[in-house]
Amino acid sequence: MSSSHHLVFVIDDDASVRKGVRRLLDSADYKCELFASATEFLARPFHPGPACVIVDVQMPGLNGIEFQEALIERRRDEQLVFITGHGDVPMCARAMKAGAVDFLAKPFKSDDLLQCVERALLRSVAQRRLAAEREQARYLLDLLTPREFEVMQLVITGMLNKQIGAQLGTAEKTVKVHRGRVMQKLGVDSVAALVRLVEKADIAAAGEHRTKV
Amino acid sequence: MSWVTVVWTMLMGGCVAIALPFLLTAIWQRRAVNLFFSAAVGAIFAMAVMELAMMRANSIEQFARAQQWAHVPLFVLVVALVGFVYFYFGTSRLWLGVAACFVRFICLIINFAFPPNLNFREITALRPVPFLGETVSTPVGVVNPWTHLGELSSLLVLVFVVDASIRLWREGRARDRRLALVVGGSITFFIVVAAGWGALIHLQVIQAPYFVSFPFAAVIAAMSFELSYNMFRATQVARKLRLSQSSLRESESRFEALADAAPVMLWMSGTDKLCTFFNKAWLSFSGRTMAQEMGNGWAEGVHRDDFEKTLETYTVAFDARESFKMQYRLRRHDGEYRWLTDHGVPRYDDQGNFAGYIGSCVDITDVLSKDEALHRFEERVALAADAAHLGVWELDTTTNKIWMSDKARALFQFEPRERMTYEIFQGRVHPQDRAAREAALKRAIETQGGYEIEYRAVLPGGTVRWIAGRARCVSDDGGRLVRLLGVSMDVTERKQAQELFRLATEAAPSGILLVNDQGRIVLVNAHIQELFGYERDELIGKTIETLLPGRFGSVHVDLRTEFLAAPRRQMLGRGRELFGCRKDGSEFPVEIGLNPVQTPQGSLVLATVVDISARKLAEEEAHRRRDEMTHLSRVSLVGEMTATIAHELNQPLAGIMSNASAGQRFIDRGDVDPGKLHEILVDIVDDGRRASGIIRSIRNTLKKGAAVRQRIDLNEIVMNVAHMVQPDALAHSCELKTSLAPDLPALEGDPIQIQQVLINLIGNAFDAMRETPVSHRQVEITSVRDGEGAIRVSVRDHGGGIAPEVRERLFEQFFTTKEEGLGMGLAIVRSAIEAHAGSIGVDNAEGGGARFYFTLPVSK
Repeated sequence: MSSSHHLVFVIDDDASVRKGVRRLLDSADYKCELFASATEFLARPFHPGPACVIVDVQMPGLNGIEFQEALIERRRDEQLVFITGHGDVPMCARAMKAGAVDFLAKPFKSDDLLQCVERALLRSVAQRRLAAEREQARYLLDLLTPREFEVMQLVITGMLNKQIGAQLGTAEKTVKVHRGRVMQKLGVDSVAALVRLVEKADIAAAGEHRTKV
Repeated sequence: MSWVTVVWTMLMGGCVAIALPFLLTAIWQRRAVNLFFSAAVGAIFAMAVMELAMMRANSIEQFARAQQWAHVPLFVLVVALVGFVYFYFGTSRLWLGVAACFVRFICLIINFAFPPNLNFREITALRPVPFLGETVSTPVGVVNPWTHLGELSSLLVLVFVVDASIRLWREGRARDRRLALVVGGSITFFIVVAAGWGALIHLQVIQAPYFVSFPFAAVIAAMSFELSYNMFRATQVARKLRLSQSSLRESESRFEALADAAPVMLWMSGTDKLCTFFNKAWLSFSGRTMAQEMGNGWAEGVHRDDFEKTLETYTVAFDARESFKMQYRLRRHDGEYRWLTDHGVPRYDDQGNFAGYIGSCVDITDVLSKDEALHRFEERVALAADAAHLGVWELDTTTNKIWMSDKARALFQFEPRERMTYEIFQGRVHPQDRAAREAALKRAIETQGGYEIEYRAVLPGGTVRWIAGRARCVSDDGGRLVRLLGVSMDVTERKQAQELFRLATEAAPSGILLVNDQGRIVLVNAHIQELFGYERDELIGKTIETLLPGRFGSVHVDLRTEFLAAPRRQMLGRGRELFGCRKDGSEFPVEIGLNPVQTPQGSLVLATVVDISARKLAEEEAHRRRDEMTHLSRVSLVGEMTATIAHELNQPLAGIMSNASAGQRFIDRGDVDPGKLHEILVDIVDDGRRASGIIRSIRNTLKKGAAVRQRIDLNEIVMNVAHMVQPDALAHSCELKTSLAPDLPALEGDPIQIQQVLINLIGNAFDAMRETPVSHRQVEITSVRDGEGAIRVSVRDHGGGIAPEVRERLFEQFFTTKEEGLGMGLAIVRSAIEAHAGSIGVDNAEGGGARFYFTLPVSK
């Protein structure tokens, strides 16, 4: 399942755990890199491909939970699998809520860990694709003039040209022209396709555009 | 001779004719009535003369003088009329009459002080007026305003007479009514006519001469008719007397001679009830003549208040021909009323015919004045009462007057000479208590009994005193209630003490009950009401069991009886649970203090009740907390260690498992590189060695970790722990016993660790007895000296004991016989004891159960 640009990172202050986990990942043909602390990992250049990070909760310096917070803060979307020698329920809940793939207690079953890694990588791939599509959609929406953006926003609510004209105080004919240009710029040929594209761009993004004007 | 002269002269002649005999009788019989009557007639005579002079006046001066002098007889007439009515009617208000006379006297002065006279300020002319066929003079002039004073006098006389007549009429006797009608009526009528006529002349409404004397002559006629009627009756009686037989007269004259010699006052009456004889003693007593006393004349001297009763007694006895005895006041010659006792018996002549009554009277005033002596005795009583701080008073129920002793006056702060009536006295009584006192007094009077009441008196300064009052009725011989005798005592201090007691009781923070020897509640305070939800009235008189839950009722009756047989101070509810039962049936825990109280009313039990629900709750809360704390301290010791152990051990374990799994996978894949496999196995061995090292280091840490060393008293620690685990013991239904050797030497150590050891061992003991019957669940902690240099503490349970096969491994780590156990407790305990250079062991005690013991060396 592994591909060349997939990468698994292991962060644990305990050398024997690091070694053991690397051997296990080797046996499953995952490429991996080892780090003794979270700080070390953060110092490494960002890996653009799908990535999974196995991280120990109890570590000197930045611990696992703090590391997760640091990633969120940097808007990084590496998928995290927590391992811990002595975890408790609230800590686990917090990590899962913040988007961790799983939370494993040491000593963990090898299969559990490998399954988690696989799941994390798949999630990373899917996330990457979604992000790309969002970027594309946003790029396209950015091409619209403010007036065209306005018309587009009303079109996706299912309004007719006449209604849009009335709302914006322009002639139906003008609306028709704007509409045609929107469809052309965004490269869609139906209202359904337009809606899908706007959804991909994330609805919050639409607000951003408006305030930009 | 003209008609005027004829008529007036006739009037004058008539007057003289009437006045003379009455004047003579007045002088002879010394009768005031006759004297006044004569005076009135004389006055009218004089007035007639003056009127004639006025009519015949040739000059203004003559007229004025005549009119001026006419006021003299007018004044005499007014005085005479008033005097007549006063003495003859006996019902008049003297002050009214005196007022009339006084005003008339003022008129007389003004009349002579300011000429021409009272009626005119100035007479300007005389007008000739035809009258009875000739010409007479009438005045023309300016009317003197003072003339109204004369009219006022007439009005007063009028009111005086009318008032006297009405009162006489009301008395209702036939003779009196006639008197009132004839004399009163005529005087009234003719005064109106005379005064009216005079007024009309003065106002010059009519031109006519004065003939005031004529209407008054009519009054005189009415009066003389009345007087003559009486004289006629008297003559009748006299004739009857003369008609009686001469022999009788002779014997009577002999009797009279005898009677006159008697020192007692005697009287006799005939068959017609009229008196016929009074002896000398009587006459010298009354100072009147026989003629005056004859018939009913004697009754004139009887005191008004006694008059009717006297007459009635006499008449009733007379008609029944029975002897009688009565007491009445009779006027003595000097005007003083003296008390007489009059004893009358019927008398019969030789033929046995009823001849009338004979009676004797004795002056008993002096005897009665012995009452004064009695009064002096009462004064002595009052003195004694004074000494006892008792105020004595006496209420005359007929007059409502009150006599009060000086002490009583001082008590209520009345002036020594102040006149006292019931109303004034009631004024001193606190408004809120007034009605109650009045009711008690009324009831006492109605039932002829007495009363006892406590009330507040408000003194003039506004201070309020509590008074205890008692009174009883005193009746006269006839059973008639005459007075109410009472004593009053200031009980403010006692009341204040009572009030203080009441306040203290009410304010007490605990419930207070007084229970009598019948187990009945006689007093409760407000707190009891609050605690039990009953109203005070609902509890007084009820048995104390009312306040207990039903299930204790019968038992408590026995307990109560037992307690009352030998009462002593006692505190209930400590150690044993007691409950109170509220009105709504709910229960609450209480603590009760009992205290026997001896009172004049018998022995009472004072019970204080404290609601200990809050305290119970607090105790339970404290227990729970201690429980939590011991649990926490137990858990934390073990928990902390397990956390460390877990974390430390899991690292190498994770390494081992990952390496092993990787090796497996490589083998499974078939591309085994022996060099790689060797590497993996080396790592696994390293991790295993590391794990065992961790465990060893933990034990070492425990040994070294007991760094705190201080002098400790082992017994004190045992007691502390025993106290700490008490709630635990209750939860396990175990009894905890300690048996500690006294005067144990101190030792060096960490009190917390030793405490943990004990808690652990005791906890194990509780756990070991889960299957033991409750009655046998007992844990005994013993401390003894073990030789010179050591102390041995043992914890013994009554559980199943220790099986031989587990005994060896008991103190090993991770060994446990408990389902939930970690297998760490005893291992840690051993480490702790060993860290104190002590030893620990276990054996099975005699009689079943395990005994863990440890020995610690005594500090040097």
